[in-house]
Amino acid sequence: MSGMLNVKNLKKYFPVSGGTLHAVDDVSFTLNYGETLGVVGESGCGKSTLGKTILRLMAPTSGEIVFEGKDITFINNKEFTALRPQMQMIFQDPLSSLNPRMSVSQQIAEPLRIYNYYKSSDEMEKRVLELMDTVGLARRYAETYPHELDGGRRQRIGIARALALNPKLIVCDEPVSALDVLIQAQILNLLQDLQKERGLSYMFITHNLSVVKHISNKICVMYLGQVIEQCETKELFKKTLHPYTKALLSAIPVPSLKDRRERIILKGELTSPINPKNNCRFAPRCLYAREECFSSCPKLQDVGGNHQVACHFVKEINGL
Amino acid sequence: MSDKVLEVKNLIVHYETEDGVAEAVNDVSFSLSAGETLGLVGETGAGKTTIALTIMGLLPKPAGQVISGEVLLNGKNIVESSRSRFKQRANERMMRKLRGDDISMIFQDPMSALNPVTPVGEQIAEVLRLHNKISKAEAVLRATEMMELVGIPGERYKNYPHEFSGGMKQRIVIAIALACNPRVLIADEPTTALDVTIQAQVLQLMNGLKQKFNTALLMITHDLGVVADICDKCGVIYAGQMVELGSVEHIFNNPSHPYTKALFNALPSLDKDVERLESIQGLMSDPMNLPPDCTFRERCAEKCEKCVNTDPPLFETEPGHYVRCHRIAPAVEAEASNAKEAAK
Repeated sequence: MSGMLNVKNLKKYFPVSGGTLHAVDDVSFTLNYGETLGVVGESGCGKSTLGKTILRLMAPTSGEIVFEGKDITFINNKEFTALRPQMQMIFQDPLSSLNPRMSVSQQIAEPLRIYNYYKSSDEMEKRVLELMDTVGLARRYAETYPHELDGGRRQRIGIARALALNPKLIVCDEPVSALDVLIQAQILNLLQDLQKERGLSYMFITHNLSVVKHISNKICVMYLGQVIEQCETKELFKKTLHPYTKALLSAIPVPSLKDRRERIILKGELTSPINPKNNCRFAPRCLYAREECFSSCPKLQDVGGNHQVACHFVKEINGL
Repeated sequence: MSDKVLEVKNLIVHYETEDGVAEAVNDVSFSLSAGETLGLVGETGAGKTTIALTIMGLLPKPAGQVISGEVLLNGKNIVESSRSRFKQRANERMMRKLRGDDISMIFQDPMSALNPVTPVGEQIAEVLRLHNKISKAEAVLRATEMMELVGIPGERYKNYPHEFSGGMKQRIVIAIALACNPRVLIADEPTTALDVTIQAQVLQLMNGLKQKFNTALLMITHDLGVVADICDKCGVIYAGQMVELGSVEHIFNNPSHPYTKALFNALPSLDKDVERLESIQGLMSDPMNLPPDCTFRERCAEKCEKCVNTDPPLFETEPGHYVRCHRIAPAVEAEASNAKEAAK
């Protein structure tokens, strides 16, 4: 076993009226030290549930999560508390993930206080100010409250909180989706700088393929709870194999008038993840779907070069 | 100038609140012809939505106030800058007749734009009945037609909004907006709440319908990709001002304002590999406290002495391409004198 985080056959089902909702279904991947894994998919594909399950904010249904050689899938809360400083999360909406009644310095100090990192308050304050410098928050904001700040600065508080305990892994759940492009660029640069300085590993959850291309080493494309394509970032954009990934890529509006791509417009919308049948979940929207696609679910298979695709006809479609 | 269906002239809009006056829109002008699409881009708080609400006569009252300027719909002014209550009410009565008939709007969030306790078909029929003298049966028929047109089976006439997905709800909102065949359609971030594959569907639909009905479309978005996709012209809004306006070719092939350039550089690209994104520091000036300088000066990479204390006007750098920047001025003047000499 190599890598800092190994996830194997992870499943998370939710009981709902009328059956079980398969939010995460049989997901496996490995994340190495200092790497970024991008998880892409449309809303409702289970990418956020995957992130929360890995941090044990939700108990997994079955499968295996191994963090630095230790199986953490079903360990109890007490044991997990000791591990939590090493695994942190940055949330999408910086306003609702911060406490409106705490000042910026209190917010950043909170994890340090919970874990009793510093005995004296002087030391604590020094560390908080250091953290504010690291994430590019001017010290004069230490005593302001989240509602007084703009979205970009709020997200910086979220990042400072995540960094406070010197984690090794940070799960970023759509950290830039709520931000304007100029602020988005600032935050992405900050995350990259921090990764270089501290050797952090990121699991970067987003629906924005251009952002994920920019920041990730590896990419998982998810569709209705399943990973349907997984490989190195360069490989994915050079050799897109799954029909869904192709459609997803072609659907992004490109901010350029040159080399306009041919659009693949998918019919219909995501089908229900409640009690899915044993078929390819993408089949109802797929341009290439045949009978076999409706009778059995394709497994993720390696097609060479560490490129995994879940499609029955991947070779035919791409002429491999 | 009969081909221009919508003309906005020197529009100035303020929000007057207890804390002070927010100068939301400062001297914005543009025009739209039938069948044309203008994209307005800018960051949160730049004043894009305020422009749309002003045109629709939907500014939140009493805070929102048109200070001066005109919005001409088919050559007729539809905004009331007077504070007189009598005039305001008269304007509101007129707008009620126009809204949904000559001018419509699509909102960002389709869930809150639809009435949750009325079947969707009836919501389309309602607009038709309000603006046309037609029987109930005929309205139902035409509403069903509209539903089919936006790709929703007519059998779902009696379904309620919660029974549809986000993309389908947005299609219904589009059907309501287009039911009376308006001349101007304003779309305020119509696809921001949707997934990319659904966004592609909705954009394709809007483009098709726009061509079919020859509607002028004002598209408000923060996504330059969407602009490249469906717009003919593009305006960049910063701190309530139009900082650059031109055809999409002008804006995408030759962005001239430092802010427009910064916007393009900050976007992660799918085609190129960049190590680091270029970003500019700082934030947009507070509309409550706009400086006398060029509003972009503090963040500008190309600022000069001229930018202090004088806000640059819009310069026309080439026919139809306007840029609000002092740096552009010398080039424009030189060109003008060259043209004069050539004429001699």
